[in-house]
Amino acid sequence: MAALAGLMQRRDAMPRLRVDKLGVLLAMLAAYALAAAPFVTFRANRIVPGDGVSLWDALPLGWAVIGAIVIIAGALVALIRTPPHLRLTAGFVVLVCVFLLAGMAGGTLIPEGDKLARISPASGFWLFVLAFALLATDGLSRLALRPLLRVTLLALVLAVVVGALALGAWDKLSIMSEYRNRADSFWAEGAMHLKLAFGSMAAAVVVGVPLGLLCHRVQPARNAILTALNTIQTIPSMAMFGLMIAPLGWIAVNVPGASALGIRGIGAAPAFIALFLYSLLPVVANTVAGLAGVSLVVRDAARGMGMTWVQKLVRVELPLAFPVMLTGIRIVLVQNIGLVTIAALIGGGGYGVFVFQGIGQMAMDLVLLGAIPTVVLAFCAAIVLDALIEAAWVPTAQEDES
Amino acid sequence: MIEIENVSKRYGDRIIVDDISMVIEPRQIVTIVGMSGSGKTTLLRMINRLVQRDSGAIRLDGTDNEMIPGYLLRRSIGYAIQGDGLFPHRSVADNIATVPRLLGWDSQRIAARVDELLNLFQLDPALYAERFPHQLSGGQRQRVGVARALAAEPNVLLMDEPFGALDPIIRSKARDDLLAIHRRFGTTIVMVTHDMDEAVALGDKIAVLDAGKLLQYATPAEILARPATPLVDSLVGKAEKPFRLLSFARVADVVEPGLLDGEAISDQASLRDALAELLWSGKDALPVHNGDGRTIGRVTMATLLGHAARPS
Repeated sequence: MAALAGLMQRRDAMPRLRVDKLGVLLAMLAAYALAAAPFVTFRANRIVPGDGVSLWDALPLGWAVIGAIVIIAGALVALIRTPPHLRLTAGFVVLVCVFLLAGMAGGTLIPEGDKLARISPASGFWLFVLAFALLATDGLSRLALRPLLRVTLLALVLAVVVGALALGAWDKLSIMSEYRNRADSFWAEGAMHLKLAFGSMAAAVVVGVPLGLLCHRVQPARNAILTALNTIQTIPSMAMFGLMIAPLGWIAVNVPGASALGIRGIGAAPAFIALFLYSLLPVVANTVAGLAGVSLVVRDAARGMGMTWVQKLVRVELPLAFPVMLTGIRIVLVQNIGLVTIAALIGGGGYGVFVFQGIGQMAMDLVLLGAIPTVVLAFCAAIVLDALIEAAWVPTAQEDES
Repeated sequence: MIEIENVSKRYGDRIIVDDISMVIEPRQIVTIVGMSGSGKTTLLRMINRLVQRDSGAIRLDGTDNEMIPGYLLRRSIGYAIQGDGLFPHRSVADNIATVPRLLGWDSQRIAARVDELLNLFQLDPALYAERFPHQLSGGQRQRVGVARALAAEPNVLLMDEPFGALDPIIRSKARDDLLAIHRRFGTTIVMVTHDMDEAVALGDKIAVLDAGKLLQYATPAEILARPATPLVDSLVGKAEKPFRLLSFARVADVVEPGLLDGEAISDQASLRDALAELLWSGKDALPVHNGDGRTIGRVTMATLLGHAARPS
């Protein structure tokens, strides 16, 4: 009895270890991936179905043990309630470790001199990435870092990844073989991807902000414009790209000089226009919402001070609506970066080219070569714009008092 | 001088302001009281043409206010509103500089004026100039709002329930500040309020509005003594009358010769404050000192009671 009481006292004296709810899920994911899921896939050549290879079989025993220890330690950090900076660091360290181990597996598994064998990350790898990326994100959001710091951190992570890739960490993996075979077109399509996404966004801002102003000032115009833009938004993207072909083809043939400008039924022009049309609703709707959010008292004061309506708009209403408008631009940019992928269907270019080629050739690593950069671009755009929105936010007195 | 002549305003079938005429003398404070929907705010906003009148004339120092474009007119008239209406994305200094910038003052003159006003409103420029409205208390925001309205040295200041959002203690301080500002600049002030205490305490004259009509336009004493209609009478409040009567007269007006010992009261205090002091201390008379702290005489209970009685 006395021993038991002593034990209980000791337990009370120790800081209590409490379980993190999200961490339970993450630890379970990691445990499953470690115990049962294949870490990489081995294929004798590019298109035959592959065999899953576990972490233990893919790496020399020493490295496999080190990898398992790092992953288990990371899972424990996730499972127990730990300080946010520790969660962020643990998530990041495990990600780097898993990333390097996958590259290493390529080197170990491919027989000397074999040019055809392919190694790709398998479900176990992706589960690790999912679990520990979530852990890092969880830590990051709990840290509530300042906008500039978040962007700096993003740049740092990108630098580490790009640096590791440049140093050849993944050279033995299939996805890098696909990259080496089309390195030039990878960067060209990337540039096209960005041009389409940012160009259509810029055009939507140039047209959408004045449209939003019009909606704000003229009630009947507002209903008509927003209904029209809502309808456009409901057209499925595949159909929209298809719908562009006929009218633009007609213009290319019948309007002098149009085809010289690059306007054709297929290619970048219809893709650009379709993306532009999709971008209008978020820009216009957020401009309207932003302007409507400017308090009546502030507007009345601006007028009462003797501002003309242009001065009121430029000096008071637009600056106050800006963060909300920026939210619309964030939606547009992330949406466009994803949608450009589909533009490849009508010859618009962008990373979608690799996705559709890969699907056609049953080469999943080629699909990944298109998909991963798209996801990374969208992710970066979201982080940078979220930081901008937070930096531009104007606190009001009411928020502070509550 | 502001001359309001047969001014009316209607929205559709509803008459908001019904044929109102009144003259506001220069350097006076005029308070406009009435219940909500009485048309008091509309009347105020027709002076700087935030609301366009339907008929009648409003003249500022003899010039009809429709002779110049509305935005130019409004730059020459101070305007302060309930909930301050400060621009949340601009610093305190930028907020105050709004109208001078619109008028194209040079930056040195603007900076000097901003400093002067901040000091006047007891906000240390070094501490407050670069703060943003959300970093200020309600009372400070309200003071910045009035400072902004006065920035371009207007002859006329329009105020729409400027103290409506303040709690009672800060509110009475804000009133005292406003009176001090008024004494210093001699600005003509037209203030809308629904608070009769405020109207009596601040107004040289009070305009009582109901359903768009001007029921009475007179000094506080006149309104308390001879309310023009039963509604004015009820707005004044029977039980409050004697105290209100005391609240707008100053001790300086009733001081009589004679020296006394004890805690002195300022000659700028209201008779109401003096009465409270006498009742609380259980004395019959109090010594009175002036701004320099010199005792100048005394005030007696009998005098105060005399002033609280209905004027004949």
